[in-house]
Amino acid sequence: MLEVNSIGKSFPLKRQKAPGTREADPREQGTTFHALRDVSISLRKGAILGLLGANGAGKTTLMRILATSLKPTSGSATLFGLDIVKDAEEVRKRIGFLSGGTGLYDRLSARELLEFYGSLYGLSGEGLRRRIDALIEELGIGGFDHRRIETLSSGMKQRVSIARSLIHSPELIIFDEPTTGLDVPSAHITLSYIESCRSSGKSVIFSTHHMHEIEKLCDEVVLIQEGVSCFHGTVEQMKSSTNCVHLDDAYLAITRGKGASSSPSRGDVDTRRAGLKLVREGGAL
Amino acid sequence: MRNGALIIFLKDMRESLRNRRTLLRMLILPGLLLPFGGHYLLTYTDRHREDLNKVVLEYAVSGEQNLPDLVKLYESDSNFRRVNVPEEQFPEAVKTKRIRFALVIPKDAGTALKAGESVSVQFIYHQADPGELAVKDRGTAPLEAYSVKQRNWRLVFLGLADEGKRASLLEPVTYAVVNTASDRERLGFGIGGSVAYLFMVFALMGASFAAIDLVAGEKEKGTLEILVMLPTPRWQIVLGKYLVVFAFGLVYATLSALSISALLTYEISSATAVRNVITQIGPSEIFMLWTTLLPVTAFFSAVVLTVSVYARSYREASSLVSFASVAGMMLSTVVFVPGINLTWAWSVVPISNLGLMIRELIRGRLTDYLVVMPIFATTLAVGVALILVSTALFRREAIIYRE
Repeated sequence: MLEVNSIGKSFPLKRQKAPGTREADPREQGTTFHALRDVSISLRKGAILGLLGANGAGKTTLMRILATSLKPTSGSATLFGLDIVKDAEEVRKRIGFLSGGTGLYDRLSARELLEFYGSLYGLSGEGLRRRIDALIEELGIGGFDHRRIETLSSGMKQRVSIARSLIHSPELIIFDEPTTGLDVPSAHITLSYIESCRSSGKSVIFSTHHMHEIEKLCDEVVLIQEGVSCFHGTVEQMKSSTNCVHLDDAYLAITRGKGASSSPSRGDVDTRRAGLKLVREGGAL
Repeated sequence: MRNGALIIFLKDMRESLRNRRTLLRMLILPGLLLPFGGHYLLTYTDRHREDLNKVVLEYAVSGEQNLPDLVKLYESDSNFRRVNVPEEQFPEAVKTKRIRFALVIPKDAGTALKAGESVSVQFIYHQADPGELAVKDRGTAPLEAYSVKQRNWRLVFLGLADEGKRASLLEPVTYAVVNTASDRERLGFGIGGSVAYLFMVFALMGASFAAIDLVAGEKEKGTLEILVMLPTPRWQIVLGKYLVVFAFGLVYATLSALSISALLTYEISSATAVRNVITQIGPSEIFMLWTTLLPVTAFFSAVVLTVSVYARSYREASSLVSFASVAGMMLSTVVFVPGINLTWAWSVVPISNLGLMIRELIRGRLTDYLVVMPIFATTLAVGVALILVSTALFRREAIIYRE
């Protein structure tokens, strides 16, 4: 369903560093910042893929590329057989995106907001109303669907935000740190919804810093460090390849370059990448 | 499926109309500041002028013994009150308003006057603002009267007792000035220029209230990122937002124009000529004046939208809009420059052409309606170009994610 082949993304830097100046980040080269290099992932229908990595590692950049708001500078990606650059408008109809911030319009009610986004996805009339009612029911928004969003708690807002990203019944949903800043009940609702996507045949890509969320939900894990993918595989493969019992330890082992594997393939740690030498990734999922 | 631009327009209108900050800004100037502030300002000006005409003016004199008759004139007038101040303190006393004016009569004044010579009396006062002009007018009135009286005596002494003969001697040639320009044409230059300038300010202000929140505000809130991930073409997003900015600009400019027209018509009781000019503008011309708001608002809406799309934050947008306003207003000041008229050359200079058109319309001198065509065409072309620039900016990642 999703095939990402050696995706790279560079951004121009505002000013070039003086010659001889030590680069603070190895991704900065002259006037270019290489946010992503040679990232390849794939995802089957109904699977949940977790993206791990430190702040600034490139997770959000990758998700924005998949959501078509950024264009890759190298490589290619297809979603449902559609090229994410050439067929961006068609791809957008089939994906949902939920960012870390809720990105809602404060002065609209939840229902008005869903009507707005639904209309832009081409829904109208009775079909749109039924879809909104179903989401309101499903996500427990019923008690506050007519209240303005500015009056809602962060948990309520997150539910509305999820409903917003699902209004058009997307086949792939991308969640960028969906539980950041949420209280326990709100995070629970979000995670439960991600889990329910699997049973309804939807695919999910989500980024997080919480290892228990990865262990609980993910079929596949991709670890990105400084713009390169240094692990992909299952949670168990991540632990076994680093000889760690806990996922946190496995994460630290990989990011500190302790994992050992001579020929990176699915489930292996690419030590050359973990050591942050920029080499092309071996296997594919 | 409804057009994306329409859906975005309706959503943004609904949201903006619920934005108390935007609504307050929209209503405060035309609804409160212009009518009440303007009324207060005009009333205060009138009252100040009246006060200075009625108030008893304190004065001081040195050299009274040299022209006692002149001093008697002042003393007999209840509008003046004499205060004793040494001559060397006159400048300081008028500056601190201890006295309003002082007279310095030269010591040989009486002798010189009797000898038929000219006498110069020094009148000292302190006028740093226009409101103080009344002091000079009132304070010199007895001097003027005294001078006329002295002159008449001299003429009688020369055998010219007859007033007609005196007039023909003093003014052998008189002339009458006939200006064929009507009040509307003469005063319309200033009034029309001011109205044109204000129209532009109003349109720019109204448009910027909505534009900054609709684009730069959305960047800050993170909703713009979601918007560009929708299957709606970018030009439709820009157009939807532009229409809201235009609507707010037009409503604001219309309300402000109505408010200031009412103020000018009903409040300036003393400026009859101004009122006459305004009341001479007929309904069809009022409608035409209103229609000039359409290109003015369309133009400035496109400017502030482009600026707002470019800015990374609400604050930066506000700052850039202020800069664009200054640039725009500089172009519009041509309406106050004598000698610059609505020629074909000026009709293609953006902003200036709109200002000149409004001015000439108010002066009643816009007879060649063909000149309106390049004005509208230029404005439309620049406006469309700016919307295209906004759309192009909207497609750039560096603009959407200016972090």
